[in-house]
Amino acid sequence: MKAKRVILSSVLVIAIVICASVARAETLSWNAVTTYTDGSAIGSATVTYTAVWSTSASLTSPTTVASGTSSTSAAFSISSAGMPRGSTIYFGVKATVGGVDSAYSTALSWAVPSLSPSSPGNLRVQ
Amino acid sequence: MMIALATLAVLLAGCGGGGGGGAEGAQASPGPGSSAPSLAWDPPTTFSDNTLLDPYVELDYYEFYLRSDTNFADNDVPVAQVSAVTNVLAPDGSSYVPSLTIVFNLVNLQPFTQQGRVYYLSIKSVGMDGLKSGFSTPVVWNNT
Repeated sequence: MKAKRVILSSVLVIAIVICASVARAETLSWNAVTTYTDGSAIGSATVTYTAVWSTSASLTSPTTVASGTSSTSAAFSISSAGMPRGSTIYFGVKATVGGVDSAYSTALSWAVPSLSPSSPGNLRVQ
Repeated sequence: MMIALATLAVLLAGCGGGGGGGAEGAQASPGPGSSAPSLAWDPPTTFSDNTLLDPYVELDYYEFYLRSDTNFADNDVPVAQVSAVTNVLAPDGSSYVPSLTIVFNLVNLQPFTQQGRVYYLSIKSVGMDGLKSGFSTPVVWNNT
């Protein structure tokens, strides 16, 4: 089997889809990778993805959003992920085929939304 | 008056809300047999847009406001602030676990109030990004 380096990072296009739901789930999505770096088709080989975020545009010290998924999207919670509200973070995704990783995609910047908390409830003197 | 209250805010911020200081100062309850009043509340669990909020992760602190009427306004100065989450000693005695702050000992405010007068209290929650909630519904405190 011909060994090929996997996947141009520029093939990956990431888009953030914000789902304003009560559960406050956001979704990071990207285009499927279908070709090797030489342009040949990946075909039926299994492609898995690892999505990460970082406060650095160079994706240093990344935190994993999803790992080893064959899906082209990953849901995450700002709270659970520990993302800093009011700050800009960066997402990257890499693909893996046959144990070989691509480079990370071009980082996508995202301003983590700020929100005011609700006021405390049931205030009482006791 | 406002200067004095601002001063208290700084003092209490430095000792976790008083009540003896330390990590549990903000939650310190009156001693056995004591009738010292305290202010209690339910931590918010949503953001202003009604999406879910994890108070352990996304709340930074509370601000306490004191007035002799209910006309709380945006330019009021908080008289105290306490951390929204404090670390308390776990039952095993060898580690700490986060605990939500839900009580404030009003004895901390007495040096800045007059006995026998009626006051109104309100609090705001402040998120980790610094954004504040509106005022909670005020409650009356008869400082006897």
